[in-house]
Amino acid sequence: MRAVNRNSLLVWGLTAGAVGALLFWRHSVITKLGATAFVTGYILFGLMVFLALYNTRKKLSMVPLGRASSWLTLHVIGGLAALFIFAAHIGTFWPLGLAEQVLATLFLLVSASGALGYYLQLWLPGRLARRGPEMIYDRIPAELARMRAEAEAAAMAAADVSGYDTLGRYYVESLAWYFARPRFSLNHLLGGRRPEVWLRRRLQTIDRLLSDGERVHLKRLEELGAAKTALDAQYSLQTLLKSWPMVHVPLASALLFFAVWHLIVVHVYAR
Amino acid sequence: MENRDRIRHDRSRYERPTLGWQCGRAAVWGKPCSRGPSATGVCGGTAACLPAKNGDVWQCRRPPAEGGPCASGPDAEGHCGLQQLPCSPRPSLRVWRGRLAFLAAGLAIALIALFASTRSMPSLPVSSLDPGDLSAAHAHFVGEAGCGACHQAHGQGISAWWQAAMGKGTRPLSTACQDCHEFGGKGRLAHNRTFEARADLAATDCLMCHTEHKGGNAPPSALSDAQCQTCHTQRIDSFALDHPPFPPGFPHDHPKGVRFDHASHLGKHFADPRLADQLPPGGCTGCHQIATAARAIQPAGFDATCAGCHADSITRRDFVLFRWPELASAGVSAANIAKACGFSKEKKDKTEAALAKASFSAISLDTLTPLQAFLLNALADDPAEYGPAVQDLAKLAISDGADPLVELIEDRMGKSASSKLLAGLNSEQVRQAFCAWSANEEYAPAGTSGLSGWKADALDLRYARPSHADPVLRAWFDAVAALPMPADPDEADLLKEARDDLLSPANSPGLCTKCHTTTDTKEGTKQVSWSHTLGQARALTRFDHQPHINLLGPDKSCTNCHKLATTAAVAGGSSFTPVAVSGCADCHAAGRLRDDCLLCHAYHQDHALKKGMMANGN
Repeated sequence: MRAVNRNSLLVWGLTAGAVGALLFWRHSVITKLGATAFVTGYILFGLMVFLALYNTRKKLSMVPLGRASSWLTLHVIGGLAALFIFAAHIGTFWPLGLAEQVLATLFLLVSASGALGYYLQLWLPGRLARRGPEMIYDRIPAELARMRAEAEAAAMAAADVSGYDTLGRYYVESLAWYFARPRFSLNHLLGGRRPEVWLRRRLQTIDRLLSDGERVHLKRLEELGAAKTALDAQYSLQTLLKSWPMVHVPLASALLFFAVWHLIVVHVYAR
Repeated sequence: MENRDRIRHDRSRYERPTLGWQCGRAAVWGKPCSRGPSATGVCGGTAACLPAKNGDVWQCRRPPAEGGPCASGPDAEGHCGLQQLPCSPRPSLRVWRGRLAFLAAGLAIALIALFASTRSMPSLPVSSLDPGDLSAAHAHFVGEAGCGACHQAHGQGISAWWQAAMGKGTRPLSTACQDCHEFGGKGRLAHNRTFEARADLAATDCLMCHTEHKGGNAPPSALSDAQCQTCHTQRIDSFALDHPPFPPGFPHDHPKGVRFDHASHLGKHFADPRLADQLPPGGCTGCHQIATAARAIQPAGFDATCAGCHADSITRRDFVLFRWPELASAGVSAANIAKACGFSKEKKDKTEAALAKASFSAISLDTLTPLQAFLLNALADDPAEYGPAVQDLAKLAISDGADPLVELIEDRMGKSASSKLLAGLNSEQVRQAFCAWSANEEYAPAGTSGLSGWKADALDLRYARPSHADPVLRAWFDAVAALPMPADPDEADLLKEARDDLLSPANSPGLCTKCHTTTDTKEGTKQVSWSHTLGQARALTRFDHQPHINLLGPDKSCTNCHKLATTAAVAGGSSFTPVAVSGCADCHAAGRLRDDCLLCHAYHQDHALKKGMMANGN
């Protein structure tokens, strides 16, 4: 995920140089009472279109348009460059017109959500790897269903061994809630251990009431519970990883249309 | 730990997250079916598998991950034997993201379209065209024209927008600026002047410096020192160190409306103890009104400053309009004079005797005044030339009074001039004076008057005892000064002599031009400066005395910069030594007070608002 390699360093350097050259050019032109807004505006607009193409590239995975990781590197570097060009374009801390304020707000929100997403992409994969077996997000429901089925089977099997439904009823009354769906999502995001504690208490509560034969199945339930906790963590972290684009992409979509409108308006009104 | 072999590629289902739909059972955390929803979101899992026909036999195709071929198998018609209820597939996060993106785009377009229609819905509080508030000054002046006052395409429809966007059919914004603003020169030239062409510089434009819609309190322009140096190639990083020296005589070298020798007044006359009770008290501030100090510090009026010493010298200088000159012979017969003037028999006889050719002796030995010579269009010192003209005038005046004089002045100086020039002239007195002069006698008015005004006396028709700022005298000065030079060289000489005589600082009536300066106009005429301060000599330079007086105090503030010259040979003829850059730089320097270009220099010269704009009720 890290964009730091020799090629990306080259891109970082070239982009920084280009942005620096643009800012220097802007300064020299403004010093000579020249107008820079159209040039910086068009560069910013072109850059935003290029950044938006990253989403298209992901949808066209069958077309040889370069590696996705390269696109991500360009997307990140371009996004950062856009911030500088944006500042050079508006030339002030905050525009005063409502239309431009909306545009600036959208730009900053897109930038902020992008920066957050990039941080999540750097931070979460490590946590996912540390939190247990990694699982494809789309397989999590099936895996959860399998675990639940095995847990129910273990609880039922205990009755076969002892002739009592102690573990079975306890499962229905307490543990079934845990296996029904992913739980403790926020706690997983925060890196807490509440699920393990919750599960251990429930298992310890019933342990003293079971026979040795039933404890074999309780042990199985404990293993499934631990696996389910790891699966929940995967689900929680991956959901977060997949959710930030739900903010970033729609905002970027709106931004592009407001930018087009801005382009039309300045061509009509600002000359 | 769980057995990882379960999710080997050949033992688990193949996920297709790009399809956009997920099994409805998985969405509620149940076991998803192996077949899953279609790409369009239709459940594909009512059957556990899709049987395949092998020869005449239908075979179960349930995948190993789902338990392999089932015991019941497909029926004879190939239907799967394990039927289940269909689920309701759910969109994936990817689909939701796409939907949100479309929704956001649609919302953006809707908002833009809704709030762009300000014409049809003027009650809307916001507009997607809103570029920010105008500056307070412009907001006040655009009036009902609104955005259209500057932006020609506003509210004119799609075609006008297209034309404007293509830069066709609409005028540039800078042109609209000049609907209201005017300058001492061309509006869009640098400093409103024509400089030598500089190939390295772009054409100037209002929008280079002026940007609007920055809010009510924000100035529409801001120029930095660095921007000044775009054209000004002499590098000035510090006013104190780099600014070129001020011109010789600065700042006293500007044209003056009133001539006043500070050196002789302060050094000589004001020091005379005999004049002590006639002097304005308080030194500099006795004459100069610091309460209204701006770029110039206007002196108080004549009455408060000069009149104490100079009022009498004005009233002693009458304006002679007509002086009966020496004539070689009588031009009008005694009979005609007696008839027109109503002489008695005795006076008629006396007149006949006085005008008799053999014994005629002219009552006057004077020649024409230069002004008379110009009015009569005759050489002033040749009685043979001016005599007939004077006699013709006299013939008419003895019967019609001032009318022939009015006609003469209107003929020579313009029709509209006479009412001001001859205001208060008594026509009967003129007639009587001409009767006496035609009879070769001095005119003796019935009574003497000390009041100012037109008066015939002895051989003169004069405007007597003028006061300061006398309107009749000012009208004569202005009229004669403004007369265009005639094409005929002789006539031009006459006008020049008349003008030089009237405007002579030493001899002018009322001594007006002893203090009030005259300037040459572009049209080749002259103009008398009746006000103290003329147009600014340096239209691009500004200075405000007020903060300097406030800071230094009225006692020191004048002489701190304006030091009386000890020698007469000061450049520009000023009474003061020039002010040097170092004098200003004592305070205006880095780390002290402002020293940027715009503190003292303006970009535009003589900026004003057009009268038409004001007349429109803006």
